[in-house]
Amino acid sequence: MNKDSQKHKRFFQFYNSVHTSLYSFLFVLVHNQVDAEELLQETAAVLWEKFDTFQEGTSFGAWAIQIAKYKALEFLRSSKRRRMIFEDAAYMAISEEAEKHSPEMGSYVRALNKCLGRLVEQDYKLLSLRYRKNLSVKQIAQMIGRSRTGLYQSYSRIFELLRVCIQKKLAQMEV
Amino acid sequence: MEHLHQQFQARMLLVRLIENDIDEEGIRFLNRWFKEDPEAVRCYCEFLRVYAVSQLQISNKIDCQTALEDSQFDQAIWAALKEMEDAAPVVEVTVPLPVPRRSIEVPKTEKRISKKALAAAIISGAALLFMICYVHFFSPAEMSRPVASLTGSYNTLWSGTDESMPNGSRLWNDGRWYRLERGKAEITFDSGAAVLLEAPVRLEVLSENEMLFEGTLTARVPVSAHGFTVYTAHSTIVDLGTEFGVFADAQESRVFVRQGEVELEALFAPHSSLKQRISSGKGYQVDRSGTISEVVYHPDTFRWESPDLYEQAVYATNPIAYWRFDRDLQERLINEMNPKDVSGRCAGVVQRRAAGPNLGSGKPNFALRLLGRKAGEQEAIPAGLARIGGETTDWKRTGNYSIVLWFCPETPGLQSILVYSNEDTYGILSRYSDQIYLSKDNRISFYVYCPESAADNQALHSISAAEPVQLNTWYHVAVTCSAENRINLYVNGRLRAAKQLPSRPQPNLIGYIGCSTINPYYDQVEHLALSREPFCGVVDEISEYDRTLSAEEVENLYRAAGGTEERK
Repeated sequence: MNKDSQKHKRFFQFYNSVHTSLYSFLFVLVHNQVDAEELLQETAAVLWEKFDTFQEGTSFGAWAIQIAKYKALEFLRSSKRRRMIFEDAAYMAISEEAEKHSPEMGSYVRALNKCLGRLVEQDYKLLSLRYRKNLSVKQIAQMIGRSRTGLYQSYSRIFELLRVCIQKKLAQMEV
Repeated sequence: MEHLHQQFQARMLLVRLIENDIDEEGIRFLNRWFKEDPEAVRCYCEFLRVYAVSQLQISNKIDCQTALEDSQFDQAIWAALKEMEDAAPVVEVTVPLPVPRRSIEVPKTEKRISKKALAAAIISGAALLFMICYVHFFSPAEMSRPVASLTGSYNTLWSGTDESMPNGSRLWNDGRWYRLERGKAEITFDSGAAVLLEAPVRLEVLSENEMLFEGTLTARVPVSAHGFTVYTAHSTIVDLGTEFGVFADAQESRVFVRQGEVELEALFAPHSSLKQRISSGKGYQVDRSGTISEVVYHPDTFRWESPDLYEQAVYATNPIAYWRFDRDLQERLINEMNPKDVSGRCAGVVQRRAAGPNLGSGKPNFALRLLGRKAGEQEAIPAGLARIGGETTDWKRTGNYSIVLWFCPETPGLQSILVYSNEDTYGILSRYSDQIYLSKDNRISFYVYCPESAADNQALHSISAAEPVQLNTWYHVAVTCSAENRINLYVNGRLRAAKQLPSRPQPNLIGYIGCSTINPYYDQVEHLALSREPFCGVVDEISEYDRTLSAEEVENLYRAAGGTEERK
């Protein structure tokens, strides 16, 4: 295996391990799926470009998050996009809070999967319609004959249930 | 109370934000939330993280279950497509003429229909008709369902639902908050778990065995519903086979276990989630920081009881507000209202859970004891005054009204038992009206102020019962004001004094129990002496009405407590 392919493989391993935390970090900051995905690609490109400067033995996750943070804040502040709907201070606070929990996502994902398994069928279907079928809330509302407001309420309830459930599961794992 | 509601609204707006379906008002709300709620940023991050990771997990998940779901989704999509097709405009196409086919002529025979076939056809038709009617008129929305029923109501006033809520109403897990603004209500979940709610309460039913809750409840959980879970702003309460009580607001959650066992879990513990198993006869609380600590358990707190006779009689008269002083919630409100130390004329401390009047049921009844400055004592002691009212938005005090209470005096002399004012100050009130007080010669009296009257001697009015009170004796007092500006004073169910006023009395909203009053100007006029000491004695069962109670209703209230005479 030549040097380049070794580097490629190493990067792939590292990147795979932080993909979820990077995406969720970006999503929390830019609160939008399309923007988060676009930024994830841009971040990945920068990570690859600068991979030579990454020091083995240090945390790849923390390094990647710093770069993602820089990209996200730059994106939010770009005058063309005008994506900042919160005040500066709020974004800074969000960024600090999001950073705290981003690197360690393994147990979080395991907890989430258990919690998803506990959802009642209807709730899981709602999530699947949105994420697996990629239907918009408006389309889902039309399809199942419910108001958009009612659906937003349902989604907020489901995510709150998941949030509470994940916290419980994480606590159990710690014990 | 607003805290949980604000978080609830914020969560819904966050989903709208993520879906790019948020308006300016929503954005302003979220910005305000970030500024006002110190937990907002953490909540925001946790909520969006769940959203993002769920999205990744579900979009990547392919298994048997999801494959099965696919077929179900496809059916749904096909149904939607079919509907679109049905509604689509007609497109004309050219169809070639059919080629004639040879056929064999068969002689016509008489058609015979068997009775069985006819019956089957009728039944099938009826079933089909029923299915169509059910789907079109009765079928609930696909993604939400009813999971609990209202099984008992006592003077209830609900909001947050478009319809009235008679007994038997079903509660849906469709994300809506049900708010009990007044009275008591019993809800039975489909799992069998039942909760007795005491207003004010907000709840969302999540499933047949789960609820999101803020307020005061007592829960009874049969074996079939073990695991019944109550989520509050700061805790998760899981039943392990028991009867328990919950009080939850934005500051804390408290759980008291009467029978069996409950698991209390702090959601926001500093580093990891904390859990506490609570056994029978114990009480614990979780505060905002996630700290769990034991609290004193009163055996009579959160008792599952239908209202006693007096309570039922009060509910039957449809009060605007009813203060029983039996529960922790109200006790805590009173504590919070403990004013700053003040010296001088206003003094008193509140003793919670004092013995209340015997209301005829034989059950313990608690009351509020106010220890005003005793005669001869000069030193200032911390003031303890209870404020009521002011939160009942629909009581404007512009029309008729009535106020009913029980009280037991412990010292003689001029004392203010309950006084209404619009001043938001504690201690001493100088602008007030509607005062129930003990006169200098120990007679129960009622004072009102009519601001529209020109002369002072036409503006200030008071009426008194003829007989003085005896100390340490309970009295049932009712005062009423009619639309014709007539005031009545009832003691122990009987009319003792009445007066026709020249104009409307001043409409004041906030009631102060035991608060002293001062009026130096009118004090100089001896017969109008308006300055009164803080009350020293016990007060209980205060109810307020936006109508004039009749003499019969007042008497019925008194009789409901078994009262026929003054009782020691």
